[in-house]
Formats: sequence, C-alpha cells, structure tokens
Amino acid sequence: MMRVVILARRELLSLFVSPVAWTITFVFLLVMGVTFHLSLLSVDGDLKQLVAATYSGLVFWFMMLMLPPLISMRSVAEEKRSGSLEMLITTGISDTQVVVGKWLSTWCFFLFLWVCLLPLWSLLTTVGQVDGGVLMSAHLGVALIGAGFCASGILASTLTSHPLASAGLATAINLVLFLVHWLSFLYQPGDLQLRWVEHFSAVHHIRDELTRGIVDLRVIIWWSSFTFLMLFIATKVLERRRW
Amino acid sequence: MKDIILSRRRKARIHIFLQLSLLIWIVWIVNVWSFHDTVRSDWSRGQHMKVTASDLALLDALPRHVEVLLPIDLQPDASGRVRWQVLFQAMRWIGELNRSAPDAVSPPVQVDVNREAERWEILRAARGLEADAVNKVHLFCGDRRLALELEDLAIIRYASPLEPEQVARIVVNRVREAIEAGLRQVVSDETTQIRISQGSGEPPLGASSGPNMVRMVQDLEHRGARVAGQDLMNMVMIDSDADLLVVVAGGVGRFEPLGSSARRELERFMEAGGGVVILLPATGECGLEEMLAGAGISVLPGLAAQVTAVPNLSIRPSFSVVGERLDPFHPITAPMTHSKFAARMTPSRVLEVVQPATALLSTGPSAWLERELSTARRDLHEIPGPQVLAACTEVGAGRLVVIGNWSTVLSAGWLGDSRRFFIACCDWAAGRDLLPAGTGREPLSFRIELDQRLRRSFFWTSIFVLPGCSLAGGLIVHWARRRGR
Repeated sequence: MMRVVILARRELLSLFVSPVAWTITFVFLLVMGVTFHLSLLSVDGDLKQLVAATYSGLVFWFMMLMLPPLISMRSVAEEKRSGSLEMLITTGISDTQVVVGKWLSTWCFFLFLWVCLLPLWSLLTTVGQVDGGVLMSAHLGVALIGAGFCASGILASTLTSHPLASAGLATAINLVLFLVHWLSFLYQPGDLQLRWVEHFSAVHHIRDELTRGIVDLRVIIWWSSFTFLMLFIATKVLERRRW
Repeated sequence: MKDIILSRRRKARIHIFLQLSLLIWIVWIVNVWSFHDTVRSDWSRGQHMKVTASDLALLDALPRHVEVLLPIDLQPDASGRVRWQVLFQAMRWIGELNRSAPDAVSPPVQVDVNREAERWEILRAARGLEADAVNKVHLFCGDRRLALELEDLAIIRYASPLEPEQVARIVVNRVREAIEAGLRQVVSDETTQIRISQGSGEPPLGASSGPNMVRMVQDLEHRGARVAGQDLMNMVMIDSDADLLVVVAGGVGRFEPLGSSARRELERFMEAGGGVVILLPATGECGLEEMLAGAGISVLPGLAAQVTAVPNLSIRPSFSVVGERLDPFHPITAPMTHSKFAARMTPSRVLEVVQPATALLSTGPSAWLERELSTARRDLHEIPGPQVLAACTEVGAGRLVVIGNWSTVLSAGWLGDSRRFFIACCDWAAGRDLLPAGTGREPLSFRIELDQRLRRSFFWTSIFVLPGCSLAGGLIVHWARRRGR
C-alpha cells in the first residue's frame, strides 16, 4: 500500500512540475467558469437548478469524456516507450501496484480539477443558500464516474506505447459508456431493458439522480466494479510481457 | 526448453482467461444483486424524494396496479417553467414509487404533446382522454381514471396585472400528498355518484353555446365521480345510489323556487346520510331558506360588496367579493390555510351562522352587506365585514354545505381557489377523502438575487480569477524549476 502511495505521489509531482497539468487546469477552469457563469444567468439565480445545469450539460460531459484520457495517456504508454517501465519494475514494485499507483495519481489530479471549482460555490454561499447535499451527491457522481473513466484511460495506456493512440482508445471506451444512454429511446417506461440501460448509463446517473440529490447504491456498485475491472485487465495486460 | 516455455505460456493464458471470466462473472452477479435490491437515499435538504415507511405501506395496500400518464404542453415562459417543475417533480416522485414497488405503480409515461403529436393521439385514443387533458397527472386503474390538476399538486402564484413585479413561483408544494390521495382514490371501488339539479333554469351539464357546467362535470369525473342531472321540480325521490346532490339555484333563466315536496325529499336524503351542496341565487329565493335556517344557516337579504381594485388600477365598490378567511380547523378548509387564499365570488349572498353550523369562508373586513342591489355603495348603516360566504353543518347522518355564490360552477369561472374550495366542499359532503389531502409544504428556496454587483464579482471570479490562479501557479513552478537548475 505504501508503495502505491509513494508511486502516486511521485506521479502527481511529476505532473505538477510539467506545464501540461497547469495548462489543463487553466483551460478546464476557463471553460467551466464560463459555463458556470452562463448557467447561473440562465437559471436566474436558482442555485438548486444551477447544480443540475452545471453538472449535466454538454460542456460537463465533454470534460468528463476528454479529461481522463488526456491525463492518463502518458502514464504507462510513455514509460513503455522510453523504457523506464522496466526500471520501475526492478525496484521491486509489482504490476498491480504500478497500475493502481498510476490510476490513483490520475484520479487525484482529476478530482483536483473539480475541487478547484468549489470557490465558485463558496462565493455563492455568501449571498444565498446552496443545497449542500445535492452538491455533495453531484461531486460523488463526478468522483465515481471519473474513477471509471480514469481506469479505462490507464487500461488504454497499457495497451499501447503511443500516448495519442492511448487517449483515442480511452475516449472511445468512455464514449461507448456515454452513448449507452441513447439506447433508452428504444424502450418504453417500465421495460426491463430500459432499467438495465439506466443501470449502466452515466448520463442517467448524473442527470436524473446525483444532481437531484438521489444517491443509489447500484450507481456506486456499478462504477466501482467497472473501475476494478478496468484496473484488473490493465494489470493483466502489463503482466503479459512476463509470459 | 522451447516446449516448456510454450506450455507455460499456454497455461498462463488459460489462467488469465479464467481469472478474467471469474471477475466478469463476479461483477455481473454483484450488479444483478444491486439491480434488484438497491438502497436509495435522498441527500437534498427538502428530501422530497425520500420514500418513507408510510409511502411503502400505502403501496403495499394498493389492491391493483396503477398506470400513470403525463401529457405535457407548456409554454417556455416563466409560468410554464414553474408548472414544468411541478409536473417534473410529480413524474420523479411516481418514478420513485415505481422503483420501490414496481407491481403497485407503473413508471410514468411522459408525452410531449407538441413534439410527439402522433404518439399523443394514439395514447389519447387508447385511454379515452379529451384533447385538452394536458398538463395533468392521469392515474388509471382498470377502467377507472383520475386526473390530478396542477392546482392539486401545488399552489403557484403568477404575475398578474395588479402584481406585475411578482415572478411565478411555487407557494405550496403538495405533490406527494396529492399523488398519495390520488392513488387511494383511483384504486377505490367506491364511485361517488353526484347529482346536479337541472330543469329549474340551471345552466346545462353538457356543452352548449351559452353558460354551462361542462368543465366542472369533466373535472369531477376526472376525480373518479359519476355525474348526472336531477330534475328537482318534478322529483319524487332523489336517486337511491346518489351520494351527493348539488343544487345550483341560479342560471340562464330565473330559478324556480323549490316546493315543499322537494324540501322534504332533501331532508330525508340528508337524514339517510346523503350530502347536499346548495349554491344560492344572487337574487330571490331558492325555496330552501327555511330548511337552512333550521340547520343554523340563515340567508340574509342583499349581497356582499367590496371595494375592488380593477386591472386599470382604479378602485371602486362592486359586488365582486373575495373570500379570503378560512376556518383553520374544519377538514374542508384546513389544507387551504397554508397560503394566501382568494376565492372570487361574483356575486355572493351573505350568510348568518349559528351553532351547530360552521362558517367556512368569509370576506376580509373591507367587505359589507349591501342591501341596495342597484349599486354597491358603502353607507354607515351597512353591516361591515367579515361577511360569511359559505357555511356547513351536519344534518342527521348527512352533510350540508351552503355557498353564497352559484357562478363558480360555470365553465367560465371554473378556476383558481373558488374551484378548489367547491371541490373540497363536494368531497366533504359526499364523505370522500379530500383531494388533495394534507397541507403540503412550503418549498425551500435556493434562489439568490442576481444584482449587478454579484454578477460582476461572479463574472470576474469565474472567468479571470480562478483560471488566472492556475496560470500563476504554472508560472511559479516554471520559475522555481529554472531557479533550481
């Protein structure tokens, strides 16, 4: 466990000393800041609706789909390409620890970006009431879905040694998970198939439940199990070079 | 050596395959389990979507499956958005009930009437709905149906010519209470049989070019009642299966006062447990005054008058009065006392109430009893307000409600608080559950005033300060690294 934390910390530090992390943060805050501002005007100051407007719009989903692949694309692919992965393995760290450490650093950076938006909410609390429960559940959704998307990014990064190819592959996986929601238009309310589509649909989880304050155990279980599955496959892919 | 490596590689592949299969199977099993037995909680402050033990008890007690349809046709203006919020919450609440008990309530079927015109026509034909049955929550149970209006789900205040600065907002939210009462009523085998007086000059129940009661009849039928006419002039006996008789003593012609035989039959009907709602004529007598006086409700000569503000902002005395004071303890009026109540009664008789009768609805202190019916003008000798406009009492095993105004039942006046009040009176007199039951709750407001200063500070923080901080952070790190080298 200690090794995972040390590796994650090292990865995070290397991210923050590079200009990439700051550029991503700058662009993210600028785009989300504009969205936030426009959403506040469009909901005419209703802070309860503002949560739903900010955390389920097109810009939000663009960020959710694109950021994890961009952050994770270099994590394993670059190490494989430069040959530093072999050096890392010789330090006695296992493949599982490498994968979990890389994923943890990616996820922490992803969460850092969303935490950077909290000052905007605290600014609003100075003039009105924000429903803290709804805000917490929305951020729980961002963290859960972000964990899954980061894990798919790590898996894509282990599959190829080209960062851009890794980002493309991870985006494709995330896009499939995003587009699952559109299958719901094929079914009628009450159909079992529709309930299964909703079980897997990130859009349904965020838009209809988490941004309204509803926390469902199945959402937590699905995204946790998806993350675990992706990391497990990533570990096996990394182990492949041994045999 | 090569064979050993190949065989180990094969074994490793099989192991990996098995591990992956096992993991995928475990993930699937865990998700299937959570799909069927999930736990949901509402983290929002109002907890509007929290399914309580009493909700589950209600769902368990439903004897049959209830289906729900929500046809929506709203304008994208401020009031449309508020109404959409109410309907959307109703839809979500029914969705929550469906998740808790899929066998009791089906998931709500939402139809956007404008965008899905063809689908709406098919559903409408299948369910036998009217073309204007939109923006309502329709509950179906077998061949029974019940429609919950927006006014049942929430009290909404809109901007008006007199209060143009007011934005549309939800004053009282009772989505949950209304749906609960609706579910109880729609599965009930009992149908309220309502008879409405006809044949003495009352407006007709069916469609006609002149004044009629079509909207009221439709509304009552959407609430699970069966409505039919009852000729009081030639009546020998009130239908034996009737639960409620509504006497509309006013209308298109002059109302013929009822005779003694009709009066005796009404008394017998109430003694046997029937409910009677009497809507008084603006002038003249209805023939039931003596009976009403015996029950503690006297009809005073003259009309209620009030100084009224009209849309062109002038103020003048008129016979258009507003019933605004409600008995806070009576079951009819208690759910309505939660918010500002304004039932317009044009014109209305004034009642004098003695025990055991109860005054249900009164005017404010600015109204008076005007005995001169040609013009409304306040004189010193006029009896000042509040004036009683509606009262009720129990007669034998039955119930009696008297309302000073009859025009509420006309299709043109069938709206707002006067409609709500009349429906509640009918439900009480017929011994039904009141719909909506409960007082509802005042919604929590999370709205902030977007003044110029806040807009400006928010604009600068969101677009310049936060991104600027990250840019500065990057520059500091870059500078520190260069300095470190």
